[in-house]
Amino acid sequence: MDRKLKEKLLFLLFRLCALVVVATLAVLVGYVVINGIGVISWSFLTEFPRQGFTAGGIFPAIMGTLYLIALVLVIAVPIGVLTAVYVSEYSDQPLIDFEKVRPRLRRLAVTLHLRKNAEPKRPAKAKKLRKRGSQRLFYRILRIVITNLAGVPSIVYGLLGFGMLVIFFNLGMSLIASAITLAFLVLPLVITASRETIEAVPYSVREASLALGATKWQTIRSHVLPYSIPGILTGVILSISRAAGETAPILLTGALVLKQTLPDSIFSSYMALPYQLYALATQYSDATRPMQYGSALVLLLMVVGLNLVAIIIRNKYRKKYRW
Amino acid sequence: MDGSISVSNLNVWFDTNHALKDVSLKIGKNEITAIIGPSGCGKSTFIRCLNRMNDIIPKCRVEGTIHIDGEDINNPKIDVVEVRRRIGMVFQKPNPFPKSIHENIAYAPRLHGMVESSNGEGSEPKRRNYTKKEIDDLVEWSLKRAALWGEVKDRMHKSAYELSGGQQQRLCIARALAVKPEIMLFDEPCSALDPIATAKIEDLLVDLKKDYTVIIVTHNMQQAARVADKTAYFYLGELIEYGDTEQIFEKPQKKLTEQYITGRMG
Amino acid sequence: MAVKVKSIARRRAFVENGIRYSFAAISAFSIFVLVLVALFLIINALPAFRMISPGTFFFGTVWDPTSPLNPLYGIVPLFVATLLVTLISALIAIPIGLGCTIYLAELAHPRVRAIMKPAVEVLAGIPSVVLGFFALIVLATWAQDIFDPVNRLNLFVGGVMLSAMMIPIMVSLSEDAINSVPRSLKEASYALGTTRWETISKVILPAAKPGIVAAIMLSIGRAVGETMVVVMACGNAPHLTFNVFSSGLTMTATIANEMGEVAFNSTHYYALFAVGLVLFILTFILNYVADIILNRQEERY
Repeated sequence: MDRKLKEKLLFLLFRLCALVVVATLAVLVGYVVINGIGVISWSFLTEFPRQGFTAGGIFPAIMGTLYLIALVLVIAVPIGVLTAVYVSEYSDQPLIDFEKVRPRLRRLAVTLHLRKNAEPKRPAKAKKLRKRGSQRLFYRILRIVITNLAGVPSIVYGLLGFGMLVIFFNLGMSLIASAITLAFLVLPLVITASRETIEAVPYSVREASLALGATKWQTIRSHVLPYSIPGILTGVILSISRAAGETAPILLTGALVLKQTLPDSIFSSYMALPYQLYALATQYSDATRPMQYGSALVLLLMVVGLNLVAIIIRNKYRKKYRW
Repeated sequence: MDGSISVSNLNVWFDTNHALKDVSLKIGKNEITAIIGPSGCGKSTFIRCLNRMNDIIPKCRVEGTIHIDGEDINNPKIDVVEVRRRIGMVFQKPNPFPKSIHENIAYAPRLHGMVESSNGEGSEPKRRNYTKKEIDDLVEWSLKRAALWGEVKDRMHKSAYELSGGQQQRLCIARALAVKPEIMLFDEPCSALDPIATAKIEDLLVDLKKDYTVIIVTHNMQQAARVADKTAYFYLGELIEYGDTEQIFEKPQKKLTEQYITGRMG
Repeated sequence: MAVKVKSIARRRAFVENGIRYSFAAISAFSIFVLVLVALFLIINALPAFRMISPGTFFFGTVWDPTSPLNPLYGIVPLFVATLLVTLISALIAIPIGLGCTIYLAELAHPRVRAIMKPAVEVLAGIPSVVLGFFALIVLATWAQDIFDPVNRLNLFVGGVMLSAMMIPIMVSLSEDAINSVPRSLKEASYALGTTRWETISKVILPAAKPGIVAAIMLSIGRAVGETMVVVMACGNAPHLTFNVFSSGLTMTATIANEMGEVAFNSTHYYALFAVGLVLFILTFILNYVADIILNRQEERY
């Protein structure tokens, strides 16, 4: 076949593939929006469901999902971001600098009458600066653990949440059990995203700051972190949107189909949008269909909205910090 | 306190690679010393030892003594931060912070605070925060000193990334000067710049000599000949020859130096 | 240096070390938590193999844990269902994903790309329960009209819907791989007078191959582990079948469906953990191998 013709046909095929992907998105979103938009009203968003989900609204499910998001944020983000900072900035140096600690240990030994004097038995090699060992073992373990746990199915996390938190730690079917489960799920994502942006800050910036006499922490605080915050934020928002849309883990750890009150503490059970959609779609009659469409649309808006915010932040700051 | 440097038997290893071998030399105050030599000869490693920037490189080991104003900076009791505060450094590629011009310069002085004159020998000097006025004055002074003030005074709060390469490099010089160092280290400061920007930096270097001890690493021999009082030639981690620039360029004592100068190698 | 600012230096060192150790403690905690997760899973799965012989578990062809007389815990039907669903979605997602990636990375006008990339990301972000909902109500009906399947909800519907989830993951990961191919390589090829397709097929794709393979593996891993789509679209009948148009129960769907009703400490409870462990190991292998491939790619360029 003619070279040019073959190329044209193939490229047409690739365009079609791309078209299929865009069409899939359009059909999915369009279907939910078209069917759901008529259901949405102020009362739908602010009322409890009534008459077996055929009247009233989805207020408790929205609130439940918001509570979950807030809790996951509080639990996973600080731990995740701080871990990422440690891994990126500190893990190349040993946790304990033995050159410095040894004399102190010797002095301690003297006070404990374990040895006679605090002088080293053999004179230390003169003028030897600290030796930075290849203390990367911790880093390697962390990397393997994180990259692999990011791919563990969410239902497995649900299983764990159920076995470990609900039963073993006796948290019961509760907001906190679900939130911790979701935090497990997003922790690897938060760490990976933060690590990538922190490590994207060029070495020369750190060097400049250190050469001006800033300490390591001062450098991290006033340069590394501020410049990577947009990236971290993007990662965090994407993780949160993932958590907000997850059904499998909360299915086993505390979401209820119907609960006539809002959760009054982190130890009470709750309703959540994704679980409500699942339960209504699979267990209830067609009479609840409008509420299903409404829940699907609200959930979609929440998650897609979060995604768009993340994309906008990223695109905005990508221009500002072009390394 | 005047910024004289004396290095003796300096050895540096990166893991197993012996990067500097028994380097000893003395650098006087208010002089420009150029360090020349082919790539990988240890030029950068040498000046990075002077403000202990090699500390942050894993697997790097430094032996030997470096006395600055008579004090051994490799002494574990010495505060690294203080060493780096007293020795400014400008890098190969301009590396301004992605902040405003003003912020770039104000950063380090704010960090260190202002040293108030100590009352009597032995007592510790007091530090206090700069006032806003003092910071502004200091920023202006630094920029003037780096011959950049005229070009940027109307856009102090614009991002430093909007400056040209040469302006960025002068901003980095101003940033280092704002800390009030005694010694300025330049690690191939012009390698990423065009000839006009390079000429401006060279003028600036000569001007800075009045107040600072200047050490410049360069791969450009004409540059060394133009600005330096003393020149040191490094080859494969060893200091081959060190002396007055004129002597090095006109009557080199060592064969290796002569070969390099006359362009038969590197 | 005449001025030694001792107390300041000491305070500074104290702060620095304090911060470093707190960071280390937090990192250690998060690793501890993540390792604990894996350990807990293994510990809870082990009793299953004391109650059910591994032979019956791994080779048994009947999964009937609720039978009052003779409960059977054979993972084969669940495994086969997972395999079939994954196979269908992979067969759809890999060619389409690849085509879309090539279009996006090499052919698309920058303005089209600026819109399409976020679109792909949004598709990746759609909650799986919404996809499942769509499969349950719309896709199943379409499939019924076209293929006349054995059951309205079947493995095929689940597989097709899953591919909509796999494609965006694949596209964004393999696009990264293609973008990481050095520009110089591409230019060198064009300079030799090749057509665009020849450059793509002979230079860019071979260079990006490890990344693309890793992307495929990671997205397959996601398909294997996906729960809501299959639980809503596949009908959840735990029989052993190779007919993609009949309903089936995947491993993930089993856990989601049955965990809520089991008694704590029962054989069934531990059996579900064992299923979870199999899933964990399966996805772990896929991820680990993909990670190794990706690392090699990174080292190369």
